[in-house]
Amino acid sequence: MGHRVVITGLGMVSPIGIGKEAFWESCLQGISGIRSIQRFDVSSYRSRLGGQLPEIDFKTFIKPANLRRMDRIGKIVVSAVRLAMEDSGLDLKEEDSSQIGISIGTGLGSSDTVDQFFRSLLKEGPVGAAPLLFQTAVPNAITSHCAIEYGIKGVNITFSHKESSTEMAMTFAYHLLREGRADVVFAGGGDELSEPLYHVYSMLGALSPGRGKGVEGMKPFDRDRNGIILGEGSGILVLETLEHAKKRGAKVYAEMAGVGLSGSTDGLLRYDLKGDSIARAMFLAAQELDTVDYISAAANSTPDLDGGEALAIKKVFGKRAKEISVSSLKSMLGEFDGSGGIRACGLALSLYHGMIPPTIGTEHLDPQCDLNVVLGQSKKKDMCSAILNSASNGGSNISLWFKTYREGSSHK
Amino acid sequence: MKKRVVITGLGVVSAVGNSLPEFWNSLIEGRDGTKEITVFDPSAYRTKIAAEVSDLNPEAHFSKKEIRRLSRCDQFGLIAFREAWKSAGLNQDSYNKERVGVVLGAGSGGILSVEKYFRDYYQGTKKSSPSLLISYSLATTTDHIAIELDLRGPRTTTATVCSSSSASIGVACEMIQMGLADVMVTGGSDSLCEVSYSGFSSLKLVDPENCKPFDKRRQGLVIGEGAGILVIEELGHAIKRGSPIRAEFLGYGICADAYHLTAPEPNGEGVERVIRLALTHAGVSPEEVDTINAHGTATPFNDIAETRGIKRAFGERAKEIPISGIKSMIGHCLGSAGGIEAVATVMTLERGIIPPTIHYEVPDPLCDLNYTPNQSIKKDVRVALSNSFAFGGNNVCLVFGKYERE
Repeated sequence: MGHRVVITGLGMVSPIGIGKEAFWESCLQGISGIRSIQRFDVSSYRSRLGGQLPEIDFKTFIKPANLRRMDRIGKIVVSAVRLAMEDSGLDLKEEDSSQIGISIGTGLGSSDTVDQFFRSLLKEGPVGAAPLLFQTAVPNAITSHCAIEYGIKGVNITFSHKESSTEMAMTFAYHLLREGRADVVFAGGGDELSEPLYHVYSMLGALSPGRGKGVEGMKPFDRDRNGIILGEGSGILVLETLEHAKKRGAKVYAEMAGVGLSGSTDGLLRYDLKGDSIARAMFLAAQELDTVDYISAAANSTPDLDGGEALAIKKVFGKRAKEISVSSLKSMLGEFDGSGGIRACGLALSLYHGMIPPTIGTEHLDPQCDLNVVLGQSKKKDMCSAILNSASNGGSNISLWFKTYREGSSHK
Repeated sequence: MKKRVVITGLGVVSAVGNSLPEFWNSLIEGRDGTKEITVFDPSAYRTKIAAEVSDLNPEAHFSKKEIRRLSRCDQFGLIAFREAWKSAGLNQDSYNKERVGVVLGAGSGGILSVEKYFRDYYQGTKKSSPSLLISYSLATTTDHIAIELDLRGPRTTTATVCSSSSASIGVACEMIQMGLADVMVTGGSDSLCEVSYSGFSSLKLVDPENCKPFDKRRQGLVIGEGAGILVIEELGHAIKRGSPIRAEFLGYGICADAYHLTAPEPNGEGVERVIRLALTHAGVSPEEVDTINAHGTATPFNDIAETRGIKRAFGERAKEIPISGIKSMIGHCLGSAGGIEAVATVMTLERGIIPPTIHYEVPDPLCDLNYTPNQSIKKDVRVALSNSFAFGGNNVCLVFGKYERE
């Protein structure tokens, strides 16, 4: 019935820590990566905050000669792949490179490079079009950088579908591994916080505090939530067939055991308002619903999504909904299309350590979101399985199901 | 057990025709869609041509309000989708909308709209409507299609640009294989814009005259635009509702050169690998392949690498396989290239006609295969490949077969 798929390496470049240890420490302590934006001028906007990466010395992760051809988002993702690879103990020189793949999701990848290219074109006409910028401006450049840097010659794909981009990348990787069409796939993705992207989100009215009087902040499931705060970063998982992981004696964080995909059609910029589609995605993903102990929520501090997701969780789990811990790591990271990789890394660590990070910033739980949200402090809990939810505005809803890894337990 | 997946609907918008019959007639007659660019002012460029979509009357398809909200890319995608959907004959009783999904490939997407917004924004001349920014995401056309018919199955967008919509067909097929959908709408849409035009132009990859794949005089690509949409379906579902079946999707391969950001691996190793992966996945032997729809961009390096890869995969037999380079007629449609070429490949299987590579006059010793020069040929085709390669060495090969009951 297909290969079992396990998570054997985690790499994260996040606003709350670079690398597994720093990231997890921040998660457990509920430290926020959200602060005033420094990288560009936001004085003309109503919003000020972003989940930003610290300054990173990319030479630590990438050969200096290769750094030149990468833009910032390229460097971020290539570094996350390096961290994941090192964490997994995988030595690519020992592997058949055609059996190693990479599957990346990004919402707006090189938005900053595209913008630079375009501004130069506007200013100087065709002679201003810079070939070096153009070749890194395509969305799949990120994935290509990784493939070239590490000699990954197997499956290579890039997805871009708003907030479910990375979850799709993991879904595709999972399926190929299940079928034995690869031994290892680096899966995840990322996005960066750039000025043009910030401008677009602001003009579309998506940023907290919106047009109302509320306070700017990321507060999933809070009654006073009023929009998103943009974040950035990259998270990469080493997904591997169990056979391959065992053969090389790899440490296993968790098992990836199911995926569910569903579409909602409430509107081009609308989430799944009634939660039916998110419910269906969870239902399809988690084949043993009664073992689910934790949901790493998609909730992003927007009135629509948090409400829709709460409805969905209640629809799927009924009375048991109250027993299931729910938390949104976006409260610490900010919201960005490629956040799923980091959140999946967090979920794998939750299962591995039996700890759930808190949803910070949320003070007054919305009565309509009356779930068992982990507030304030991280929570110790032994878990059998957990769900990672994602939901995009426009309506692509993907849920991934992860199980605590136990040797010998068979996959359904 | 692998499920069988068949093609039941096709729709297309292209420089050589805005419907399937027009498109197909143009291809087999060898008509070139290249013309002077009108969607932006090309006067400052060395080259001024593209395979631009013309005579498409948006008012015949959309309301005034819709036209304001839809990018050129969205319009192409929706028009091709409507044709494909209609030809598949899916009526509301014959499918479960929760099990119909959409996976499209994107290139620059609605960037023409975004360009318009930022041009005004940066030049400070006038205030542009923020609604133009809805197209900022590559997912926009995909979402439009799903929302139009309330399709609630799996949905995503692939973003490997020049191979996007071939990859999307592979991904769509997986949704059926995974049991998540009965029917998938797939392929892709893309429109001309100055950003991508100037980018290819800056890399000196654009031919100033026309697109001449595999010809010794080739100087590069001609950028095209359009949409190619396929409705694919699990075989049992198609049979149950009595749908005509146009062809079978047998499998695909996807892999990377891991060589360079823009140049292909020169010896064709990546091309060979993706063809072998595709044939293995499809359960087809190299001897069974009757024709190949080439990536054939007419850039000096691509055509050599592709030729070498085909020779590595098929050995001596490579010379016997008619290869078709239809970018000579429709241009390189970037995010929709794979979708439009998949439509052409399905038609080749259905009609037994292989479209030509036009503008082919001077053979290149480094490209020494049978490229179906200038005239379409009749041939009973049972298995056909469609190649797509992208920047960064993102390779995809699709395998289609004539539908046969077993």
